[in-house]
Amino acid sequence: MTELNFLELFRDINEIKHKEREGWKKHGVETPRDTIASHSYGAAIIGWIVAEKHNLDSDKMVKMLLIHDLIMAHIPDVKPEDEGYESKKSMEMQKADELIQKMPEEIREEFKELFEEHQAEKTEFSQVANESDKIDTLLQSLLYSEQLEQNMSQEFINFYEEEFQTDTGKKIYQEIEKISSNLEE
Amino acid sequence: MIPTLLKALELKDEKRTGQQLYSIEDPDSIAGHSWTVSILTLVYGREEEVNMEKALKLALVHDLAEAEIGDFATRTDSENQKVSEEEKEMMEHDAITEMSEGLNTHEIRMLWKEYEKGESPEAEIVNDMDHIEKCLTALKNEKEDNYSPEDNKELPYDNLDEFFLTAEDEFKTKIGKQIFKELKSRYEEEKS
Repeated sequence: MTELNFLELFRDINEIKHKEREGWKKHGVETPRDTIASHSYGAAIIGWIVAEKHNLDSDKMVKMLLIHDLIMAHIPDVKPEDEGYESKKSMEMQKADELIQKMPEEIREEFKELFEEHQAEKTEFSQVANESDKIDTLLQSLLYSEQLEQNMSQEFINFYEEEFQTDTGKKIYQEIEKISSNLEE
Repeated sequence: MIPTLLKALELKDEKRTGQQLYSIEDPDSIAGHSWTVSILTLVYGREEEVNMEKALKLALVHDLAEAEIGDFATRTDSENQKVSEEEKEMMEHDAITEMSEGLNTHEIRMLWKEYEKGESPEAEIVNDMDHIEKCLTALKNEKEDNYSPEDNKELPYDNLDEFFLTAEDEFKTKIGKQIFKELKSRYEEEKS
């Protein structure tokens, strides 16, 4: 562990802890708003539970979701509907590489593999990871809807309509839809 | 399952009371803190002989009970603690049992108990990284002047010393002690 890496890495980690997720602000959510760190925490807990239901390796799921937004320290948090989303995606991989270089040598390879598997979105495993990520956003929209007494969750539900492929993912999506429709407008 | 997940996500809004006590601007959430503890464990846990997967899950659940009962700041003087350690433990135990049932997994309750016991190598590294996270944040807040000492006149210690004092004797792992030493000397530099 070189001293330089140690401090640079801490700086990145701290940045992520405070970096707010895009989108909530425009919905009128006051601070404290969800950050990249708190979102990653939520996604990891959700991924853990969903992975168990699918008999997937929940240990690996937790790890993947904990690091899936680590690269956000360096690039703006983009939403799929934003312009340039695709080019941001390839930038993400490059930035991931830079960040991984600051990590202790022993863990670089594993981080790289986890990033790549998550980005590839091909396996059942990465599908569950992606759905858990979105479930966190949907549940958060329910919580903010309740707090602000103004239902913003429908917009997120519409947006993610086609995204859920796994049994558990679909079931959770439907349940969220139901809760949302019972919220007062 | 959904109501319990929603409950767990309240940790995103739950603020770290130690930081609130010292009037830190924009205090961290418990969820943000727990994520950081996980990442520190992932990066520095390798230096110790631990089952990393288990350690990460311990890091995720170590403050989960606070979604239900809130965060109680650790003080140097136990007289200043709002509830006794025993009371707090019982409340937390009930909260975790309920959440474990809600999520239909005993693993959460078992891991939380293991963390509370603090005896396994995994519990030790997570506990150490918990204190490292606290000190790292204090160093950052000192460096960035995220508080005004004027507001803290009633508190028993200068600057953010209490965060370091409540951590100092807690470290069990070599890497924990090593990082703490480094953070503390940087904090002392910042102060002067």
